[in-house]
Amino acid sequence: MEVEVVRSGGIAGLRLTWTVEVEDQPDPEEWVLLVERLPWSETPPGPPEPDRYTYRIRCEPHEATLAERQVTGPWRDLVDRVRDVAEPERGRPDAAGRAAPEAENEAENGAEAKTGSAPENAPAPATTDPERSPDA
Amino acid sequence: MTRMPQPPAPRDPDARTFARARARAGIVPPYLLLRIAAAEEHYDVAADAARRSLLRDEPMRELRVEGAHPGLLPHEHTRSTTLEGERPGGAVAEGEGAPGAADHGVAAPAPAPDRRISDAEGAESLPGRLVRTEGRPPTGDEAVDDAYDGLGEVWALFERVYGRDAIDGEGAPLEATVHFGDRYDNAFWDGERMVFGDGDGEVFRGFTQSLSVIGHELAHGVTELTARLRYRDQSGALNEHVSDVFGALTEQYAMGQDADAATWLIGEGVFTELVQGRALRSMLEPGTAYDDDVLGRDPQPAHLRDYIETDADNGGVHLNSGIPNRAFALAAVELGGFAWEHVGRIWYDTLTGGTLRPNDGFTAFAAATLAAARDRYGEGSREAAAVANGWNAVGVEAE
Ligand SMILES: [Zn+2]
Repeated sequence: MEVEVVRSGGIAGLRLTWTVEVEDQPDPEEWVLLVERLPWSETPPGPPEPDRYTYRIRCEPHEATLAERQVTGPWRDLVDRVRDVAEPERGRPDAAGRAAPEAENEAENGAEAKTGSAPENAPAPATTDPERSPDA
Repeated sequence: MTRMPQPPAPRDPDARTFARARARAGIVPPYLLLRIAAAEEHYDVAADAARRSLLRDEPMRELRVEGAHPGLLPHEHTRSTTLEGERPGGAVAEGEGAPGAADHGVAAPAPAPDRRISDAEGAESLPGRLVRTEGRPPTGDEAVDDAYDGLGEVWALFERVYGRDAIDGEGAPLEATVHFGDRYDNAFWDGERMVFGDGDGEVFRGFTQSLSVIGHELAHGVTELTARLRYRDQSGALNEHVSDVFGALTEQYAMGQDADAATWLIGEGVFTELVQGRALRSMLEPGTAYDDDVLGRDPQPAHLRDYIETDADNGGVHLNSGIPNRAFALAAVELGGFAWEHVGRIWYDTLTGGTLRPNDGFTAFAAATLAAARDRYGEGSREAAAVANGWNAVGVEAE
């Protein structure tokens, strides 16, 4: 069983990912209890607060996206625990995967967005660096 | 909290020297700074800034009056200047395009900021303990005093240049909390106050020493009360962009920097010396603010074709803001002079003009800025042309 916590946002816009292999922990049964106690299906999306963190917490088959303000109680316990035992992996917008349900926002915002083609005179070419292109 | 698995990245003295040199290269006529400093009794916030700027870059300042925009000079057409030059029946003439200053009657008491700084003392509860209020002397706590001074600078930009007294335009208190959380690596706007962490000491060394960060946070409050850009996807990137704009302008205004002298960096000074990077973001050259073994490379796109689709960060709001950021900075550099006087004014008009809708994306926003530029400066003005060129350069159709 794997627990993954992805923290994104913040004024710096840096993404950190912590991953814990529960079986490798000295107290796996406590982890399982903690995960099972989490209110996975009771996390209505909170209104985003500028520059606050967003947490995506995953433990198959569960997944929840929480605003920083919602990370309290057992959620906070889990996040603190994960951060205690795992070193964060930084960056790589693509490494942590992309959850699905966001397409509707594109239409809402006009969807001028394109990805892909190589920049001609951008200061730092995006597509040559996997960290810069989630679709690479 | 964010202990690094890797050994610290080697330091990059060249980059730091460069950043420092840029930061020190305040190009504003010394006579102007002296004049502002001398007028201290009337407007101590701007005077403080001017005096500090004088102290800060005395050896490096150059006279470059010809670089100044023919419009307003910094800190000139302000209510306080008006009071200073007040003669019976003879208000100082307002420069073209200073409607904010003109809105105030000469006889009304001078607006002043109402700052309230609280200390969370390492906890994550808000607001914390109130430790410094308006007019109180420095506490000796650097974060408290930096936040207090910084809020004064942001207030001065909005009030003196745009005629907006505080976040709501009606002089509401400017509230901030410092020392939030344990080695907390962030600063944010919670809807009522600015909140600043101390940083982990390894990557971030705190957020209150960056004027652009303080300006950025306060501007979130202004956006929330004006255009209300939804904090998600393109409208969210625009929300971020607006905060970067007024964060950068706060710094430029406080230091008297024209568009050429400005660093266009957001969050200069928030990284520790272990990080190979100048700042969190570069408005002029998105994607170049840092390139570090631990943090990786600044991921901001500088052109619409490199727009990043992601779920994280509310749809990449801190990434894709690079695109409008560059449009703004290019327009400012094209016009030269003080950015807060022309492009900043156009952006402020756009933000407060009532034409933006919360879900507007880049195209709608670009069109709104172009309309604002034409409204204020005229159809065929160089200001309107610069704005159009800026958007064009980043691949956004402004009309
Ligand atoms: Zn922000």
